[in-house]
Amino acid sequence: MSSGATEEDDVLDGAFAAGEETALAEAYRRFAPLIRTMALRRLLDPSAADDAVQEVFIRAWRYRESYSPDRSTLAAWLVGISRNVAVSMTASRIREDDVLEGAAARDQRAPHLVPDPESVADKIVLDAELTRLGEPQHSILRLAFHEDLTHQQISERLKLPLGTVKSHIRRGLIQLRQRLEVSDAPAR
Amino acid sequence: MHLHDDALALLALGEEPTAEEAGHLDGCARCQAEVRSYGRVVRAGRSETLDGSVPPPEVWENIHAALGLGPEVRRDPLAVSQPEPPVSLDSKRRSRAARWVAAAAAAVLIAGAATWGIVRSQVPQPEVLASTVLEPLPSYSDEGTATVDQLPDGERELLITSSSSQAEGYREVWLISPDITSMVSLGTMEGREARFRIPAGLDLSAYPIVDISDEPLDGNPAHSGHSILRGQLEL
Repeated sequence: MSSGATEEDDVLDGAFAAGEETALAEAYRRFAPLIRTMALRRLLDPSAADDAVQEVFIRAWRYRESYSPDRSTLAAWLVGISRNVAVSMTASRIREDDVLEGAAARDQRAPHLVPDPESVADKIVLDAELTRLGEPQHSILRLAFHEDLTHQQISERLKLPLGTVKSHIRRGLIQLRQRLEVSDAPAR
Repeated sequence: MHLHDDALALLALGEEPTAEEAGHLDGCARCQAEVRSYGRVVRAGRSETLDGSVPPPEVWENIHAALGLGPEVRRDPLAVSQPEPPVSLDSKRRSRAARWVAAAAAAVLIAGAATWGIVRSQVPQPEVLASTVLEPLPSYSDEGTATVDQLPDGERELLITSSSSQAEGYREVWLISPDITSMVSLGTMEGREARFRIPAGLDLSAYPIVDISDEPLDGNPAHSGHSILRGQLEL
């Protein structure tokens, strides 16, 4: 059902790796807002988040030869760069009062209530990986995640045997789990 | 004998265990750990799609200048993608929208996004009003999610998922004010997934914190003070 989306995602990833500037612009259109949200949650400062977005895309383009579409989605690769940029910016800004005040204010609001930047990162990576799963795995997991359907309901909806649905759920979850773990590995 | 791998994956997604599975899981650290190992994937998969926040145009200008990009990508990519307003019944506007769609389809990369959008919009879904991840409080390792859906009948429903259903007593679901001074009980929660109707007049923005507590069987209707999971809805 979504094989079109998968192919187009692969087209974008490949075009980026091949150095097409329109692919950089498309990657920016698609991912800059999410990367900014992730940076904002980490840096707690809108102008620092803008600087981070700028740095991420500049680095991504300069080091695009180290990106391989076979190894990861472009989304996951950009998230890896974003992590490194945010870490280095946090380190260099740690003495600045606004960051400390922002962090203090956050702590007082009880830290477990603030959405973790890592959960934003995971969401970006997972959405991209989901579109790369083959069918019927992609549809099955989409129904499980987004519509909260049980495996029985998915089996009825997609007219697939229960056992098939169950094993696709397991295989899909294992693959996505592994892709999230890979995305933790340091990128440039 | 441990639970089947397929069953563990379903449990991680919050499906109800059979009595036999529940019995085994309660006493088996290995199977519990296996279910938990999917927690991150399930949380990310279930979390609401993020809107993101659009960087100001200078950010692209600076990237464009720093990398010496060509004139064809000079325009801020985020400024270009403003589609026509949603199709109205007015035929003139509809044909314009159709032209826009056709133009978008011509550009291969944008077509990908459009296909994705169409695929998603074909599936009828309740409108999600808010959603959050529920984080464990210290000394707990549960994971969960809370989603507020607007149902077709206009009522609001809170869907809670949680990676386990363990409690000393029983689990109760609360909506709490930001300063944690007032709260509303929605009811008890059994299993790993539960749905609660939100009272019609309740202003969610005054009670944005979703809390699952462990309540002793002591007849006291107030919050025990022992919270297992908590998260704040972004409204």
